[in-house]
Amino acid sequence: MTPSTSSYSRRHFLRGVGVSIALPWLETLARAAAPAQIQRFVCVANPFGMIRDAFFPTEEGLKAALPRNLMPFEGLRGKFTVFSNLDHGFSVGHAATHMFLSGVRATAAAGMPEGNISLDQFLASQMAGQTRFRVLNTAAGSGDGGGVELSWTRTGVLVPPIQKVSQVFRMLFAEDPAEQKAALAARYDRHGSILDAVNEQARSMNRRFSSRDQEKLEQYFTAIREVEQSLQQEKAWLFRPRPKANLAEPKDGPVSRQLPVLFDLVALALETDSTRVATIEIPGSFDDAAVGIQPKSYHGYSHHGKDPTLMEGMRKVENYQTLHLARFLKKLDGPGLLDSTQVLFGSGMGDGSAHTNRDLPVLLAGGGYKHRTHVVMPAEKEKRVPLCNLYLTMAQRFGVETHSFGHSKGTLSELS
Amino acid sequence: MSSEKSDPSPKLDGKVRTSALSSMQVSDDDSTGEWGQKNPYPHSTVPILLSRSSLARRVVMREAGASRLFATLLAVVTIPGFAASLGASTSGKPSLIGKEVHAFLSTHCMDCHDDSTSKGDVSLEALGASVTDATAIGWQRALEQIERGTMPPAKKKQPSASELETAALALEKAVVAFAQSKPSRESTVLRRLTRTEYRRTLEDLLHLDLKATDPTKEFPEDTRTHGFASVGERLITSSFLVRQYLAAAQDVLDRAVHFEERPESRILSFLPPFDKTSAYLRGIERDWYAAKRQPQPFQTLAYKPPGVPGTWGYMSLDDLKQGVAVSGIYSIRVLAEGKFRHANRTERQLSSADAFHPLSQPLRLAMIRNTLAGLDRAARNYDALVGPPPSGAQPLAAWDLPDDVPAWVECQVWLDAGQFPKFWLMNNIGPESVANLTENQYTRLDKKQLAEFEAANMGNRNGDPMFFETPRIRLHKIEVRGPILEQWPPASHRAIFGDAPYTSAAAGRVLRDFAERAWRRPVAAEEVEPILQLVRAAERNAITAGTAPQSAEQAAIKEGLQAVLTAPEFIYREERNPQLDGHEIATRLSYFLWSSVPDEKLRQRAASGDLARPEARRQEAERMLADARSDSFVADFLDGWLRMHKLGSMAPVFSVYFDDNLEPAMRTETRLFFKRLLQTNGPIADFLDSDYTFVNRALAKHYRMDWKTVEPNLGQPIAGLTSRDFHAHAAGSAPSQDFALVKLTDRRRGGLLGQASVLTLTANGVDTSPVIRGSWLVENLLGTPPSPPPPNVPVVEPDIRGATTIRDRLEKHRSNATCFGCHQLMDPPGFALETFDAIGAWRTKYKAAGGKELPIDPSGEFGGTSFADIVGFKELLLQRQPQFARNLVEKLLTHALGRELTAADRPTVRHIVEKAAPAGFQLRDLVLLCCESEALVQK
Repeated sequence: MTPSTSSYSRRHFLRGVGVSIALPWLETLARAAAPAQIQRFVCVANPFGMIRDAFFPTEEGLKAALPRNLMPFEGLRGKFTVFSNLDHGFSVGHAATHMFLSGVRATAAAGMPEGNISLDQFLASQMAGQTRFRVLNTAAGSGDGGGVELSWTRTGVLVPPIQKVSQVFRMLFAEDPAEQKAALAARYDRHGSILDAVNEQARSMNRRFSSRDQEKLEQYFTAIREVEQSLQQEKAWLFRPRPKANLAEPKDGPVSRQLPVLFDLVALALETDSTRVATIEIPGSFDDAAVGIQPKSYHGYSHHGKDPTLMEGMRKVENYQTLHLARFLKKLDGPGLLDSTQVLFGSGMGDGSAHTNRDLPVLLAGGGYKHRTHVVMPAEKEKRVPLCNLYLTMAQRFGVETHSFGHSKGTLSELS
Repeated sequence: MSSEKSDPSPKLDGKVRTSALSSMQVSDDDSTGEWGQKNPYPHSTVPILLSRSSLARRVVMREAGASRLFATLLAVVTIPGFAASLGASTSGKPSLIGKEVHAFLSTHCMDCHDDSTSKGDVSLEALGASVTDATAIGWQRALEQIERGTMPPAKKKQPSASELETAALALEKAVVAFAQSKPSRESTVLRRLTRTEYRRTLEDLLHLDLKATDPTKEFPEDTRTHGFASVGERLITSSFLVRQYLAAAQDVLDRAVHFEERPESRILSFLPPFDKTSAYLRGIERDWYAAKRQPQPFQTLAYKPPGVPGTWGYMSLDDLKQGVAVSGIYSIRVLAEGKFRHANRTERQLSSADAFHPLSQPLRLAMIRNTLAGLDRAARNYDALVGPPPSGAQPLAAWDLPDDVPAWVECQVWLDAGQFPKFWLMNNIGPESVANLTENQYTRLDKKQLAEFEAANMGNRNGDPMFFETPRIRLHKIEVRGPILEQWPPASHRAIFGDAPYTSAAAGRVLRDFAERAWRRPVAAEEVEPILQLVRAAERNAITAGTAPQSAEQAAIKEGLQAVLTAPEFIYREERNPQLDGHEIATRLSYFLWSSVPDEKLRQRAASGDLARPEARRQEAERMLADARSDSFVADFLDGWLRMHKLGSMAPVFSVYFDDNLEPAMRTETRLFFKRLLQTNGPIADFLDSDYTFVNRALAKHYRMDWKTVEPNLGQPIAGLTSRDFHAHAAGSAPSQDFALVKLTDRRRGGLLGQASVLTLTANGVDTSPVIRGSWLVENLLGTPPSPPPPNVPVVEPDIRGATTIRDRLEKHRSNATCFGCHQLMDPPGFALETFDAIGAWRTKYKAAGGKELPIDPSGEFGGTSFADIVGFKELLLQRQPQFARNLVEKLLTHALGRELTAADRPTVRHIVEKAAPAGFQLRDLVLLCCESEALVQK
């Protein structure tokens, strides 16, 4: 199935999300000139996994009965799939949750051709210059109490998410004052010429080096080239007007308050084509009291040790997440944006209490796939399929010409 | 189903890492992967390794049952590129293992490990008679087993000490001879400055204090190898980081360079109300005096009862909310007093009831910096003004206040332009006790007072504490004086430009002088030519654009300086030749002991060529350790050795952890402990067990010590430490928070294993795991890291329903032969530590759901001897001092050399350990011997 190009009325969509946006002519032109099939990707992830009985359907197939925390997805049948038995083949607890979207541990990145690049960065690398933000990495709060550590660059750097909705809003919609733009432009120029100079320094240094040190210095050359490119791209966007949102700047708050706002802002970011790749992290600082349970910390509930009260609390924290995820999907679906947006929800933790990274919770929605509600992948050791196979499938659908991602061994055909 | 493709061949990065000394593998960095092309999983690499090798005889290592144990013990552990070790390019010359080894093996090993028996599916016979490319790793593992006494097993006849030593020495000789015969020695790969090194370097280059306004706070975390961020090969330079370098250099230069006129130093005096914005208590207080047309005599900081809105305990200086105009050091004075600390109680009641009650201490005023940056004025979001400090914020200054007598307290702190002070009441009084106090106070009001209270408290604005006698701080006056300038331009500016005014003609000299210090070596004029061209171009462009010549020149030289600090010569520590030159040696020493650049003295000594002599290095190292900059060594080395950087990374769920500010206290305890041993050349056995430690009030409470026995030690001088070391806060004076050395009455808390820092960082914030603590211990204290768990082994699931303990469940896990091998080594130390909870509080029972409790059994067997609990375990640990010392030396060398050690380094380590042994392994000796060693002057 090919992802359908949306031919919906944008105004209609905007009413749908309760915000009206005056589209600057440039944006409209840019849209008209864009390739026919715009592809988008959003990943939403938490650090502690999902309680199995409330997330994984017991039945298989399109009509599978939905467990408690997937009830909000009832209206989305045919638009999403939960996968059982997918993971990265590792299990070292918290130390492996950061590989959810890359399949590669940060410490093992050196030996991989693409390092431990995460799917969002991988897809975004071909978006350079096309949208204002190549990728928008956000979190609904601080990583105190357990960060998701979702997004990694090709060079093994953890990309810190923006943790405040007010800042996300300003990046997307607030116009910088003219003098600030001029100052920024001057700064870009100055940094550009400094890079020219240090590049020359590095070249004469390189001539003195042994081959192993030269290998190391190569990183420096590459980094400089990349910075030069992004300085140019950012400078180009500096003087293009931002889309206007008829929406007051949202107030920052605890995770439970920011999460719905963040979903709305990411929907708007996709809609206004400010970015086509985004991530939303639901961090360990989730204010558990907000879902009507005794404050104990999200991490505390995840260590339920099979205690029924704690497990119930954990399900409630998770229910809040799936509730707003479903709302987000419906918001995209209304105007038909969902079919061109692959939304991945999951966690690098399989069972937060046992600290395993096996059988990760993985839900894929949208993207124009032939969804089947619940797909059970083989559980037997020798037949298991790496989660990276799904990521490779997604990357190809996104339009990246590649035959591998992370530790993929092929693609998935379950949804075609 | 999925369409499978054939595996691409393994990508090997061509690096040999067979950390021969003691398989210093990073258990939490390397683990197993089912589809990992570069699978760092040792259990399966062993057979692969051997099958690829050209072994004359077959070594059988089947993947089954008990064989796991030995396969694991002999496994190759740090894997990236193991196959490369078999490549021709790194081939060594085979070396014979000699007849002492053969004699030992045939007496003690061959009964079980010859070709025909090959118990555990390991045959030493198959390794042949010499160390070769194919057998080197097998021999190294065998050597480690003999050295550690793991083999022969305890139930078999044991070799005599001299027999064992002779065999180990001979085998080591063969292994080393082979390793050293390889054509290319493992050398240190170009090291990039770590985050800490970058900050510390700029601080020392420019005489700035950058801790508070850390230019590296957005830098990505550095990759750690065996815990250390200092290993060059693993440090990555990314575009993300280069952008940070550009920004950080600019930021720091803006602080350092001052072409403008000397700013005027001012004295600003403030009278109440200082906080003009917040409602609730202070709003009522303001209104009350305004209505009476009286000058407000003071403003109150009080603890907030639960369920009552508003912020009570935090207060900004509103009149200064635009911040100070100029960055610099400011003197801040406050006239303040503690009030009603003993509300509803007598002092005797408080002190006898609970020496740790927050009100048995003086009321404490603290100060942080605040700024309006990020404040949403339109939404009247005044959080930044009146809200609590961000979580984890440590006060700049703190003071114990006298009761009922206003007294001036003072501090000198750095404020950036735009920053202003904010104050808060630090004592964690506890919401319940405040609520009770408030409740009780109503009954004390007479009719008139009650009417006044009702009138002032219009619309139920919760002004209660204004009328009641609840614990609080009254602020009477605030004075801000500064910036305090000793000279102008400041030292940071002079460090770059010298004393003469800058003119464009001096650009080349300024750049070169600065580069010599920043790049840590002599710099030829032509080396800074590209940067000088940059400066000239910037000047021309600015003048063309209409900028006044002088401003154009000043901006241009800053651009050049920014380039000096972004250049690879600054970012990387260049080492040109196999034998390091004087400046390169100086740089190694200074980054080892200071995490920063060499100072003037060290540079002079470097230039003289003197540092090639071990004695000269020792002298310099002595001098450097005596300098306060060596505190960086203490912090950085502990981060690497004990993984202290992990402390608090999984935020504990215990409220006391945050309420009592335990995290910084824990870190301080361990640093003081280490620093004292370093400065007094104390025995490293103290790390394993000691009859003293360092506590402040919060830790003493956490450790359930009797405060009366601790209190007299406050303020007592201690050899090797300065009084500054005992202060919990950077400025001010709050003796109630200070640390003291305390004698331990029993041995449960002695040594590192009784310290809350270690016990917290080896747990996950919620509960403990004997496996995690045990593997941490054997790896970081004994240098014998266990292998990571194999895939597809069922996990030990936590279960707090009260039917079983973790020990029961582990017992079951260990009955699985696959798991037994490693778990029998690491679980017992873990069991011994189970009597400490996830933040290191003592316990004897597990708490389970529904109030159930299960007893903890901390007994076990270690090295063939059984122990009853942590005290008994530490006695056994103390018998392993040489092994502990050796591991510590390996860690020190890894940090100093910036690379992983190999078999070729064994003689260096052995030499240091043997030299330090007669004096009983003293910490400073070990550090100095590392500085003297030949390895330190080789790339």
